[in-house]
Amino acid sequence: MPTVPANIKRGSAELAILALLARGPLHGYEIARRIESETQGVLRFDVASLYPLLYRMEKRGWVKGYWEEVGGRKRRYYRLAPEGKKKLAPLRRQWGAFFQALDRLAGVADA
Amino acid sequence: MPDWHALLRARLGPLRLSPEGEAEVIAELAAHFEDDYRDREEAGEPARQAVHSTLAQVRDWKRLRHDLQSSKEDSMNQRVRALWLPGLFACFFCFSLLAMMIRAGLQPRFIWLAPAMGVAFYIPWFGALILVGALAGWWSRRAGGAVRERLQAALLPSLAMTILFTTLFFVALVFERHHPLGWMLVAWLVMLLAWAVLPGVGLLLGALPFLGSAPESRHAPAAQG
Repeated sequence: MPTVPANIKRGSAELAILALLARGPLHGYEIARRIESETQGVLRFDVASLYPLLYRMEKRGWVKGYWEEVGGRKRRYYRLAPEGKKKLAPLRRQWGAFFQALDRLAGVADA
Repeated sequence: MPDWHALLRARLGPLRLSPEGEAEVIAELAAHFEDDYRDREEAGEPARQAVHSTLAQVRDWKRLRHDLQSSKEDSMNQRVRALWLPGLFACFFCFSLLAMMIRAGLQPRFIWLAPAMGVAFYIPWFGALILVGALAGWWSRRAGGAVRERLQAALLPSLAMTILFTTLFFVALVFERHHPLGWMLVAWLVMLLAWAVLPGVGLLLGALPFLGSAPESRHAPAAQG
């Protein structure tokens, strides 16, 4: 059973972004909008929380940002980088283990 | 449509980034604000109110400026922190340790490959290199280094020795007249083995525990609930 390191407990945001970008490239606003709509508002990003995180993930090589002109507007899109692809599976496992552990302890799934 | 670039610049102030880096950040954030503003307008918010609501999502502009700067710092700074600082530390620590051990009277073990070709091995030093590799790997990971950077930082002393002995080999090729090429080649390979490969194994062993897990994301925020 994989354990959940302390940094992973704080890193729900990283998993959310990697999982979303695994489906295809998105720009920052779309990332925030999709996360909010797909979690029905439970997870929300604003400018202050999203972009510093995206930049850090880019620095670590997990995502790759690039400019693209769409509909006459230049947007910075992000796509999953190979290093990010490698990160995603272990992160999913760790979070799965974390939720299972919480569920066993506190019956989270039935709440 | 409000000038989001100007509004952002006025609130964020100058960013401690390269001019291109700053322009990129402002352009990206301005596009985000513009989308947000459009959505609010489409949802029926009056223009003035929509501008206010859009800007209000940033509660602390100073904090945002700081977070943007630290997360967007150019990759050269990041490389210095994640590779060169821990790597140079490893080199310094590695060779200082050897100097101290020799000064303290540590005797090498010699392996004689030929009457005139002996290689000195400082066995306790190899053991200490595990600690040096571990420190360099840990430091690089703490600085957010990718696996490759952690590995490079830990192995930098071996790399330095490889470069040194290879340079000496080529210098010897030019100036050395007393020994045949085959002898010099063997000497070079033996020196590499003793002073680069074997120390590299020790350094690698130390760094191994820090290669498998993610860089520490001390600043990674959890998504807002």
